Amino acid sequence: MLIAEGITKLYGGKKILDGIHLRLERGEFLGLLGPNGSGKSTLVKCLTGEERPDAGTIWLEGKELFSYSRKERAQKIAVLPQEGMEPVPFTVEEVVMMGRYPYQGKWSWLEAADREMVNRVLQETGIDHLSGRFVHHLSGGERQRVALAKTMAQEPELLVLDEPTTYLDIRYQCHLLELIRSWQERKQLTVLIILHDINLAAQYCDRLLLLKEGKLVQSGKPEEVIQPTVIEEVYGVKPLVIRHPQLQVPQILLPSERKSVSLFQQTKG
Amino acid sequence: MTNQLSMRRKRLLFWGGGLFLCLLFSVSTAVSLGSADIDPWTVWKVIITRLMGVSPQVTGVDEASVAIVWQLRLPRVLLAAVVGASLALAGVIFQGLLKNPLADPYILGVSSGSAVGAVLAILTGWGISWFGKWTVPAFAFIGACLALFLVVRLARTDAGVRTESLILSGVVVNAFFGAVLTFAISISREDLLQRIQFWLMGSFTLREWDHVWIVIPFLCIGLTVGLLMSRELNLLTLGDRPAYHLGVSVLHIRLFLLITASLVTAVAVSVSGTIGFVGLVIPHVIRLLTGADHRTLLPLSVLAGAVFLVWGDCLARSLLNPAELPVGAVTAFAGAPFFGYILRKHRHKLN
Repeated sequence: MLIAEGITKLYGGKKILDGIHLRLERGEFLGLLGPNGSGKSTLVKCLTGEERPDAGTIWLEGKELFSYSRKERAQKIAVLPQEGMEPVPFTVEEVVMMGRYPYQGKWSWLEAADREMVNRVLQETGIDHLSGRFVHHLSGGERQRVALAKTMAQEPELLVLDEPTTYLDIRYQCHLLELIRSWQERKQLTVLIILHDINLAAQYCDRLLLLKEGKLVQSGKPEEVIQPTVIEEVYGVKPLVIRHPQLQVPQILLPSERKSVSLFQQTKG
Repeated sequence: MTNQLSMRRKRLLFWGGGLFLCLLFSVSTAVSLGSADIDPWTVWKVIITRLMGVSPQVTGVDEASVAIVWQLRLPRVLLAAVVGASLALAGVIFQGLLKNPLADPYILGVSSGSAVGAVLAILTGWGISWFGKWTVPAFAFIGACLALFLVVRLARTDAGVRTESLILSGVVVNAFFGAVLTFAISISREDLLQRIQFWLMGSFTLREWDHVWIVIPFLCIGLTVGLLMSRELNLLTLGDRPAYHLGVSVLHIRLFLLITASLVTAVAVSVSGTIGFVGLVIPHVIRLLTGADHRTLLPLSVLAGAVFLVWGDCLARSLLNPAELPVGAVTAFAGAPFFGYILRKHRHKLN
């Protein structure tokens, strides 16, 4: 689906990305992890064509990414940014309709087929009751769902998400990721997601990539990546790794310098 | 679920039709007002007489009425209409592109930049052999682009253009060009003084058909460009990155639209001087009435801007009759409090 070879990006002489190779298979749910400043966002900007890498090539379905026209590219790749959707004075329905833009010609003002599609997307994301409401009257969580509905209307083959859960409470976090997961399974969608939360990443992703200082440190299944030594090397914190009781995927707990209260009393006695 | 497409069409037809009728009524009423009494019905008869090219006897109007309506009043009223339309159009585009409800050619300093360009052309007579009657508009356009460049350059940060910094940059640029204007006036000859004076407040006195014909082509170009790019304008309100990821060529569209809006403003200013707040008030009111979709907002604002300035000019010439107020004073009188109101509302939203 997407192949990146030797992606290197410099900012003011500093290497932000250093020869990254990666391969995204169709239908895969790939998570991108790494500490602040490790180059995750820059990598995603390169892979979506927003920034040109200083070296390296990106192939999207066998064709060089930058040889696609803007609209062609937008038919293949959709991006859901961290901040979701700005509080714009448009109705939810109007905004979701904007997702159809890559498919509309300069003169096509008729949108009957697009309308059906938009209605379906509104139902699938469970926001059809909001369709006539103005986006700037909605809460942050609701706006994030509108943003997702807009990307669904875009019918991409690759969905790229840049920390979509940052500003959401756990209810909306779960809801959003479940929606994406079910969409991915239904449509054979390929998902590339930056997540800050290692536990969420382990729970939803098929495969994880770990970045440090612009280099790929580890990639593989969650069990292979989320190991105390690997995490310690990248983040400088040695976590405790346990199994998720339901899903059997690894989950981390943060260590503490402090002994627990009961232990403290025992040693004293 | 209601059909959004036909709703938008209905909205456009309803408001567009209403505003168009309102414009026809406003123009004929405005033409009939004045020292010589001419009723609106006669105004229409004169217009029909001239358009059909028949002699006045056929429609039963006297030569004097024809001369007053056709030579004196109609050009002035129509000029007010096309200038109002142009300023409203520029306002919609600036507000949409800068994602800022307070952007307007006057507040951004684009109008005063145009005025400086125009005054420079009048004072020096440069370029008259190349551009002919287009000299003043051409210089105004250069001034407008310069002002816009300065303002956006001053206000721009990595996070985009913030409302407060945009207004402050507008103040800076306005102050600077204002000083240039004052300087130009101080050194100009007595006979040019009159001509330059009116740029400071804007006026439609002594305007002729020629001026109307200068504005109309650019208004048409601006409206066409605006309508062709109205969907992109909608997408840009989502932000540059989301628009980019939907396949919009953000930089090209933005540059193209900024130049278009500056051009339309410059031409309007070159014939009428700096008239403020039309581009601020009109798009705002229309947005409240019919929604933010630029596909309806653009054409409706153009019509409403025309109606607004026709009445503004009526007030300007009838309030202190027989003396005249600059029309810019009238629009500022209505517009400045409105500006304050939007600013307060906007601040509430930010907090």
